[in-house]
Amino acid sequence: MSSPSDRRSASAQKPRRKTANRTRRSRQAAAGKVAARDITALKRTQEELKKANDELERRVKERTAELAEANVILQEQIAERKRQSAAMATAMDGIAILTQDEAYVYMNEAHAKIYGYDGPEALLGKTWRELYYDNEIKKIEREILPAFWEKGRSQGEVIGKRRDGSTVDTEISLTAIAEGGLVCVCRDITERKRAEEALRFQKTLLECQSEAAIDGILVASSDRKWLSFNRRFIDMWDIPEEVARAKSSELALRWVKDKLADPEQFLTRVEYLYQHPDEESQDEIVLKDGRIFDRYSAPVKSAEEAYYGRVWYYRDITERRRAEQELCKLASIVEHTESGVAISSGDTFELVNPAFARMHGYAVEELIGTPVAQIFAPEFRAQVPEHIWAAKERGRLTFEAPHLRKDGTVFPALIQVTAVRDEQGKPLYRIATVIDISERKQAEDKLQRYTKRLENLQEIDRAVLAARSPEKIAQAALHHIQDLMPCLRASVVVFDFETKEGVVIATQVCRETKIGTGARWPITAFELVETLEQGKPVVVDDLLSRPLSPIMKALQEEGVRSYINVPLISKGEFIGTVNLASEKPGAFSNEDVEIAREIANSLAIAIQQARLHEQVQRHAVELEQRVAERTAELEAFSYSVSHDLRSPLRAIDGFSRILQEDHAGMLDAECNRLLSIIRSNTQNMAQLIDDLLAFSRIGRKELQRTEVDMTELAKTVWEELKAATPGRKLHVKIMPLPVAHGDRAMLRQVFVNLLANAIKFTRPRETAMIEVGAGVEGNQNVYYVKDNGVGFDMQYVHKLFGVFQRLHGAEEFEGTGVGLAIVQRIIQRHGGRVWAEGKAGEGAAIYFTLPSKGMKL
Amino acid sequence: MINVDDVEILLVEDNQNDIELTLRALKKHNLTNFVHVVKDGAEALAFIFCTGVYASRQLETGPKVVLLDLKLPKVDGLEVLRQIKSDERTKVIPVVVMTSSQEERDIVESYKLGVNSYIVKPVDFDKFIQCVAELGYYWVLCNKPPR
Repeated sequence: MSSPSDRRSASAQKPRRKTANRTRRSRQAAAGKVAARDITALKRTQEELKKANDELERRVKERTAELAEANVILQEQIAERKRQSAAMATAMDGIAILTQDEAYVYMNEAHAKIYGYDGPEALLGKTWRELYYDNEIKKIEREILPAFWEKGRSQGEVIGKRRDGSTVDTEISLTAIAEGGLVCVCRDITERKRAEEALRFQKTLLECQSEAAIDGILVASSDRKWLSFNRRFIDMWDIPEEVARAKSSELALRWVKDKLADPEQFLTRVEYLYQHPDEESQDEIVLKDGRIFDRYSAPVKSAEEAYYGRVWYYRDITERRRAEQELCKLASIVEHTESGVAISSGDTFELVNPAFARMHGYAVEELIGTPVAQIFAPEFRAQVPEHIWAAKERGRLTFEAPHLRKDGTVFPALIQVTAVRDEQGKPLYRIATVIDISERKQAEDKLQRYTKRLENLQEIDRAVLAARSPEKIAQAALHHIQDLMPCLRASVVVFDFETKEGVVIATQVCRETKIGTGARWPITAFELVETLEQGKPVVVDDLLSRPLSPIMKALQEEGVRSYINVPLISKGEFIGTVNLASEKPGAFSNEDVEIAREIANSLAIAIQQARLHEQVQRHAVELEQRVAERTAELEAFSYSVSHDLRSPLRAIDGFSRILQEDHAGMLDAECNRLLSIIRSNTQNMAQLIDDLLAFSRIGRKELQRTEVDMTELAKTVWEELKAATPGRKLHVKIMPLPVAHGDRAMLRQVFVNLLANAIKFTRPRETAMIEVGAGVEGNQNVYYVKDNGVGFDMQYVHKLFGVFQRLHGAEEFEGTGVGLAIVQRIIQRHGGRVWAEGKAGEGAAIYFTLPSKGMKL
Repeated sequence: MINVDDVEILLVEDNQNDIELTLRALKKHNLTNFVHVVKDGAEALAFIFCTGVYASRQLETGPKVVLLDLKLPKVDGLEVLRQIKSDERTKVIPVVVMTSSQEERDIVESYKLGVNSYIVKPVDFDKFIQCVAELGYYWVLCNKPPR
């Protein structure tokens, strides 16, 4: 059958099928004709035989009746009979006459020959049973003889036994004769049997073919009765059994109509074809369910052009059509894709798509037949054969190569070649897909340049970060600029708007120049400062095309033709320019300007930062200096206080004493009392100075932190103080105290001051009750010193820790009012706090906290 | 004025009051005979190293002890101490710093420079008398310096 993929070959198939049908039909007719002729001949013979028999019978009867008196004419009659016998002997069919006892008395040559004998002689006198096998004899006795006995004649088909033992199909006809015998006419029907068999086989074969056909076939008579149809036809149209059984086209059409997308057209066409019996037709029928049938209809005629009816072939071509559509789609992909597609099996193009032709600047037709190598750039052509070989070898090859357009321009292409092979693996052809990768290449180049640019900028940033002064930063930036773009010279100018000068702070020059680092020009000598101030770059493609400023003139003399100036702008402030120059006119692209701007941006920030850094450093130095000065002043002050304030006191005290000693006789009691007051006050003053110095020292002194056994420390201090105050009844209770982390000397001072206070303020008590204890609160140790002394009024508690603040009169309790202030300062410096609880007349408790072990401050 | 070569105590002090009080204290113990007073650091150095007006003095006959105030005009006391203690010829001369300063810094610095004793002058005159007397007694009469 025709390939479903090839529509053309499908239609080309049609006439062939028609011829086949015709052949089939005529063969059928021929077979029919043989049979018909055979039967005609038989009939004729039979009629002849009957006629002959009748004649014979009549004559025998006549002769029998007239025997006596017709002896005369016996000779004539015998002669006649001999003629007849001769006629019988030469007849086509076998003729034999048997006696009543079934023996052959006459037999012609033909009869003997049918049974394989040379002549009748061997069989005359023998019974007919000689010529049949037992089975066949029984069949004759059963089926043929009874009718003969009854009607005097009988006939049937029997299988005779030939002389050599083989069999022969015969048809025999028996007729009784007057003498009591019978005439047997016999014919060899082997040929007919074979023909019939062939016909039956042919029919079965046809039916099988019809049923096996992929087409649904219906043969309908001209009066639209179904003559024949196959199973496929019923299935295709899904015709119910009862409709099929009715064998009526009308009924079937009503059934079929509902399945059609366009029933009217279908019916009209069918009607038309029935009306025009000679027409052949081929058309497509679309069903509602989407199936598509191809219909072929033709008249069925006999060889003699007798019209039998019309045959309808239906073929379901839905799949084929779908495949064709898919193929069309695939074809359109190739047709419309932007990728170039080319097919070749040898060295020339056999097929290219429009995109392929377009990207190479050719028309499709121009490329068909041209050598494959032609579309490659000349420098690549030598490599073409090896690429073709590699593609065949590997089955697929992807590579990039320069392609040549018709106009001589070259573009980079990405080519993928696929070698297509047949089922035996024999190479058929190659499909090449070509993509113009100019843009991608450009993008890649751009990306590469961009990456390089970023790297360079990063290096610049790094260098800039490492540098400290604006000059060094600018030099670091310029150092890398030549990696980014080709430039003859690069420089950085910073403007000083106070002196109205531009100073070249860095240069990168390939040759000697007058405008090197350190060169100064008035701002007016620079070009387009206003433009730069607005943040816009100045780009000059050719110096020769314009009037020159003094600087430009100098540059031009040094070979500069084009340049760009990019402003350095930091926080909106125009601080200078980055200048790039080239000996070529128009050397700088937009990208170069962009790069210069990026560098300028980094640079501006860096320069600004360097300036700030310098400023900060200056400030720091100043500050340090100031701190040092202040510290020195403070120290001088302390020193003075410590040294100079005490000397006068000593003089006052000393000379008062000398007065008392040397002039005792001139001084009365009152004088001595007054001198004592003077001396007492100098002592107070000395104490005040000492305490004040101690207090100020606490603030300045660095903490020397160690683990301090507070219990031991409190006990030691207590013992010392107790020894210094003899005659007091002091009762102390020192509980175990948690270890502290702090400056031992300072913490000692804390205990000295607190315990001394406790001793001092319990003086009115007969027995001083003093308690040192501690507790833990969170990560703080809370220590306390409690006494049963005079206490204080809680409303003055805020004054307790102030310097020189006292809640008692100097006559009542000595002291300068610095002790608790020192305690507070020490504890605060340790990160703790101090507070007091007390009640006038009942005692006081001073609490202080220190961070517990492990706490870092 | 005593012969500079007979000086046993060199008192370096700019405060006239302190000078008088110190001398009075020394006098109580009959130690004033061989006291020489200079009022600034420069003069002290001139005396010790026999320069300037003291050029004729014999360096080897240097004082038995130097009572040195720290706060002095021209050259301060610590500098004087440093120079005395850094010269091989004079470093054996006992130097007693007598000052009003209780500054830890001064005390530490003085000892680093090799001071033999550091006395904070008490404001209380009685204590002062006692202190100076003990000091003179010890360094002039008791101490046996190498010769």
